[in-house]
Amino acid sequence: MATKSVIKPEQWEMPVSFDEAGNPISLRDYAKGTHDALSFSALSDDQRTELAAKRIEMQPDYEMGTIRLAGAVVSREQALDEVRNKTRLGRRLAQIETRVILHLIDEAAKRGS
Amino acid sequence: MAKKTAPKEQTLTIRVSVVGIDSTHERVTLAACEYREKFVYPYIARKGYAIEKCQGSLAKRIYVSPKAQQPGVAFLTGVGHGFDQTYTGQYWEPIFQVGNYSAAEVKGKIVHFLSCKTAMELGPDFVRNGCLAYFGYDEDFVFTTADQDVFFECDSEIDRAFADGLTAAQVYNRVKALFVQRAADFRAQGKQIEAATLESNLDCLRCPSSPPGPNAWGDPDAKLP
Repeated sequence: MATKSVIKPEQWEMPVSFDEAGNPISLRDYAKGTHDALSFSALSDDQRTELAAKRIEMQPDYEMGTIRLAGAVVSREQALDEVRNKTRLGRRLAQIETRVILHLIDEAAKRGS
Repeated sequence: MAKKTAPKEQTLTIRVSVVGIDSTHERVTLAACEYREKFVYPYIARKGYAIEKCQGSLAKRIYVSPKAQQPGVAFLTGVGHGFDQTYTGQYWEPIFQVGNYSAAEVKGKIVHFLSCKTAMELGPDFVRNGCLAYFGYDEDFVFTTADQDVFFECDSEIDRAFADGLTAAQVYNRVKALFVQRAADFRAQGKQIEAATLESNLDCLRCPSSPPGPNAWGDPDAKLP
């Protein structure tokens, strides 16, 4: 039997999309469908990048390790620079956030928020 | 007529060995090396392989190159920073670099490096030089530092599975299953970013039977003696 995926309270408050005016939409609001949220798949590359950055900003303990040549431990601030500058590592970190978002949207839909 | 004399012969037995190349000069590689010391090398040794280590200040090309060419060496494994064409040792000293190593160091061997990006060019270059199978990552190997041992566990399942006598294809299947299980375990704890990061690393793992084909990373049937 598949194990259940737990959505922590803070995940419900983190953005998973934007509205038409560019305001972030939380998972809770996205799942309710009460706001004018853009579908995640409709977001541009720049919007997905900014969304990833906003989510990383909201994680006070964010810290990643890497085994690359240029610096092993990536702090939240460094991660934000990498993501916003769209470096190779930054794109990877943004893709990880995208993977989280897609999973959370799917899970939230399954449980009808 | 002179009587024929049978040539004198002696059979030599050479122990199959594994060379571990681990750098330790900063927090990340030190943590991975410590994990490997506890959970990888003892496991490989219990399976009957001799272990030759080039760790810390010995993780340098001058020590690794002759060890890799010793008779009986079948597997090179380790943790070290990397880039597309280079696997490095202590203080980022290049150990293996495309165009700057001898084919004898990798010929007939299986290689696994916990390192960033080396599956891009170095791994395929090893295979072109006779390496049987290469396991590594084509992007940065990233992990959440708070749960680093889970990430090291998933990667080092490659070493344990080879030590268990599996083929490269079987090793990949076992490693993939562990990545998937640990990601599910993370999700059950609400650790969404940890789960996604683990899955992302699995997507970047390259080896003989991983996508995309045709294979640049060696023979899916390769296994340790």
